[in-house]
Amino acid sequence: MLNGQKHNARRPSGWIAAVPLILSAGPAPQHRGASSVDDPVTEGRSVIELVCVECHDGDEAEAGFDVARLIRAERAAEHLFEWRRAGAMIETGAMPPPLRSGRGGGLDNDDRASALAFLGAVEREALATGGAAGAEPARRLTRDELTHALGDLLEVEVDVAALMPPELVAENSFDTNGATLFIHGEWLQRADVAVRVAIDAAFPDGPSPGRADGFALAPFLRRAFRRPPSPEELVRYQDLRAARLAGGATAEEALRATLFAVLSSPHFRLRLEDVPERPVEGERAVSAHGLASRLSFLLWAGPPDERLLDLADTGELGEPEVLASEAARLLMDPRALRFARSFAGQWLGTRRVGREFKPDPIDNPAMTDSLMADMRDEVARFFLMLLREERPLDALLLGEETFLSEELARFYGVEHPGGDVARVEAPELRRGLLGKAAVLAATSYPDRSSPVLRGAWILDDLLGTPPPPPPPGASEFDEEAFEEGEARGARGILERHRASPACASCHDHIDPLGFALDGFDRFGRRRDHDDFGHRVKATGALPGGEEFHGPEGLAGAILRDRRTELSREVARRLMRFSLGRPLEWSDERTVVELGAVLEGHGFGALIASLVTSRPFTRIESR
Amino acid sequence: MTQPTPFEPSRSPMRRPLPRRTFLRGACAAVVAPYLEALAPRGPAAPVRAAWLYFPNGVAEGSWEPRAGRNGQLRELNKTMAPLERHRERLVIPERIFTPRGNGHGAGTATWLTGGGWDHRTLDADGPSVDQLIGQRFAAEHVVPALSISTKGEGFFAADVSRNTISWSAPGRPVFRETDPRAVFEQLFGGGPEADTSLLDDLKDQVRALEKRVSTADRRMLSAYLDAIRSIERRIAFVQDEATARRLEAAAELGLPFDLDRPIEAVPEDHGAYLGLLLDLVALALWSGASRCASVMLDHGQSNRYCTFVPEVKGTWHALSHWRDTSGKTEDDDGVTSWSSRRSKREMYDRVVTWHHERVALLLDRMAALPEADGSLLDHSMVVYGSSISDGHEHGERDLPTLIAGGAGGALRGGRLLARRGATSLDRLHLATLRAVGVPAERFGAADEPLALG
Repeated sequence: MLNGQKHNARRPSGWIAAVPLILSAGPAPQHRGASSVDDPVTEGRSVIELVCVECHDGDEAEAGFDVARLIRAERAAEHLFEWRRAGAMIETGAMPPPLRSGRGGGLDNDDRASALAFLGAVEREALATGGAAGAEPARRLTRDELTHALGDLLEVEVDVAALMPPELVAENSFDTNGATLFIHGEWLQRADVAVRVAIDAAFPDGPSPGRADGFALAPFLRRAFRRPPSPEELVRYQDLRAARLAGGATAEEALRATLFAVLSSPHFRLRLEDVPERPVEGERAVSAHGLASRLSFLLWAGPPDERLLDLADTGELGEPEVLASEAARLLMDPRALRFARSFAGQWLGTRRVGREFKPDPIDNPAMTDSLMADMRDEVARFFLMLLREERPLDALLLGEETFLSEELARFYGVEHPGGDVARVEAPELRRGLLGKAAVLAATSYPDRSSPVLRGAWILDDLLGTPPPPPPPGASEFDEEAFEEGEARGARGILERHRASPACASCHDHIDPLGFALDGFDRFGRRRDHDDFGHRVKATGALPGGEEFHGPEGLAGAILRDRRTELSREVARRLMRFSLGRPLEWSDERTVVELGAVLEGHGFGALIASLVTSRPFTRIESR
Repeated sequence: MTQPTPFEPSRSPMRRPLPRRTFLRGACAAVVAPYLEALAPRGPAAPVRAAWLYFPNGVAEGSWEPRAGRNGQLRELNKTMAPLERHRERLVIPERIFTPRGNGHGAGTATWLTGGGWDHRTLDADGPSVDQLIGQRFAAEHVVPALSISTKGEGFFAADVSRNTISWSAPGRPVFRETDPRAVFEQLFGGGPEADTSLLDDLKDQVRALEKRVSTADRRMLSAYLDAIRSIERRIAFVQDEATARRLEAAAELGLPFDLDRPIEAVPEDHGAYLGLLLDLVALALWSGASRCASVMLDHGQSNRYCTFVPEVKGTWHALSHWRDTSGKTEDDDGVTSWSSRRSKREMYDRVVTWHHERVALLLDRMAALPEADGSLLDHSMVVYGSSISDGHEHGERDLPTLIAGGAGGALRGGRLLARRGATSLDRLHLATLRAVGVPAERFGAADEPLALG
């Protein structure tokens, strides 16, 4: 029953019986029978309405979280993410807060079970009715994509990325997100400069007889626009070239001007391979040329090659088997490393290492730029190996092989055959993601490791259950805390912190995960003593789970107790990265399907299923 | 791999079609200001212009409040604001400013000029911001109607949208902020790599043809693309206008460090020289008629720049702003720097802020020295300077440090403390600025009554 007199007092008798529906204010879903007072879902809905709406109502709702609006919504499933947020608060006991009368927070067991039953029903409804294609906005090329496109098309190696302004990125998002790929005059002008520099590099000074004369425009246009050019387009650029020649330009000058015009076109700089002749309402299949670009920009961060375009021309790329086998082919190409660097670096935060995470070079001479680049690269190459070799889910956390430069091998204290980056057997502590130096550094402050950051990273980036942000006024480490640290080590500080119930509701879940990695310092070096000189005790636990020890123990516990969460989160991140948009409630169905593929069949099958999934191969217009 | 330098003259020179003019050379007595009638081809003789200067991390409690008489007359600025003392008679300090819907390092920065709330999921700060409203209103009269610049970010959050954006052209559309002085100059006075207007016409045709074929959401992107092309066209026209050359000549005569023949350093090593150059560009942009207003981030929200360019300061700006904590182990502290006492840490925090006050005072000096029809650029401008946080350690949301400088064409009466009993929304100041500049706005954000400036 409800917790707290105030709430009880407001409860009209027989109220529940008067309400016929289950999830929403709208008509009751047909697949459900008539509800009764005993139905925990109905009960849960009214528990939430009576307990939460008290404070979470309207524009003035606490924490800006309007539960009243959610309750009133036509379809609860459409607010899946908000309901999940509510669920996390209820489950951890962070909400509802203690009443003024001094009673403890949370709900009693019956009410909590009912509330969670309701939220479970919302999940089921979302999965049953979701699965839509989604509406990806058209977007411009990112700075990296433009660089690779110019390099691939003109067959030059020139770092024009340095000429473009860095991309702004939303917190916790990817640079492929269309919402942050802003277009403005300065971007257009800098892209002009980049194009010009790339053309200059393709036609270096000095006579290059014949090269310009023999240059065929039609194939170039096809690769630049990533689809066959229309006859009008071909004529437009042929005319431009002819006009320049007639005006007295040399063959090379005329060609350069024409290439500049082609590479200035919105059809090159924007992702417009798949624009129907007139707007199409509703859902449709992405065209074969659209698929070719979706595939190549995902796995190469650049334009399709001849073969992909050929398969698009014939329409074969529309066949799921062809799409899947092409994805496998693209992954084997060296260009796939661009994808691994970009995706893994952004997903896991390892791209920060050597950039935002930059230790003072004077105090830390061992942390050279090249070492930190090798650390980032190790994670990218390791992740790419999982895809190329179609490894099972477990390999993500237990994979025994890794990729080390000589410098990184020295840093880890392992043998290296010499020369370039080598594939070697990883020492036990370095297996899988959890022992990688870049991961351990990316989840540290520049001056010290942090069990809190590491725990939050596991909950968010690996398991998709990010802890809520600390409430306003939550203390950071203060002086007192550091006295505690001197006396009892990092563990002591956090235990003291968790003595406060407001902090404990989240930190009880966060900190024990991070402590399992306490045997590594802020650079990912092994250590026996923490930042306060206390002996490390790398034991941790999952919420409600048994204790474990060190990265192997943590990996084992996640793979045993949180397999589903882990595989779904990998799927979510790949979907967000590849679709260039945030996920919506209706994507969860695909997430669940892809997660199951990863869990059951590994990374190769995951990629094949991703690129043949409905959101990837179809698009909605809204 | 070859690594080209940005804007390096190469076989694709940044063409500079400005004709060289010498008619003012040596004629010191005949220094002519752009907004003197003879040289102003567009708009009123001296319209009111606006600038916003944002600084991050707030100020320590008690480091903003001035001494004032009972009638609100400013007697003496706060001692940490000593560099601005020489402009006291041109300043208005409004008390109890707050932003009702967005606070702190992220949301506060993103909404400082929008009067809205921050939605991190949709990246929506309830734009457009006040500067963009002005820019949109006077778009036809200026090459970069609302200039948007800042120093290059350093450390954590240097790429984060909310902490790096105060200017929004529309909801979810941050305005690009230039950080390279040379590129700012090119934006204002350079023609671009190829001032080929027929190519631009062709690109516009391509975009228009596409607009008929796409969905509403994609049409928004294409319209941004068209806007981008048009801004380049405006730039070309502005640069080819002879009056522009004369304005630049006059600016050089008056000591602004820009000369068409001398390349501007991209990003000077010395941070003071760097920021000074950016602020000189603001003065030049407003005075030359290139821009109607300018928004400047002296640093990005939550900046953790090492402020070692300020004498006797160690540690990062954001770490210093948590001045009550001297452990040297908070958040972005580097673990190497430590402070002996709260007092010494607060002094360093104050020094960093005072150092920035000095740059602002230099900008005001510059604006006061640029002559225009019956007065100076400063007389016809309204400069708003402030932060989205009050006390940095407390992440204070009330009493936001804010000041207004200039004459606003006679609308602003300086030397005053605007003492207020209750909290006053920053929206009311923005509404007042809009009206002073000549945008007939009824309301801005939650405000329908402007802050009284006179």
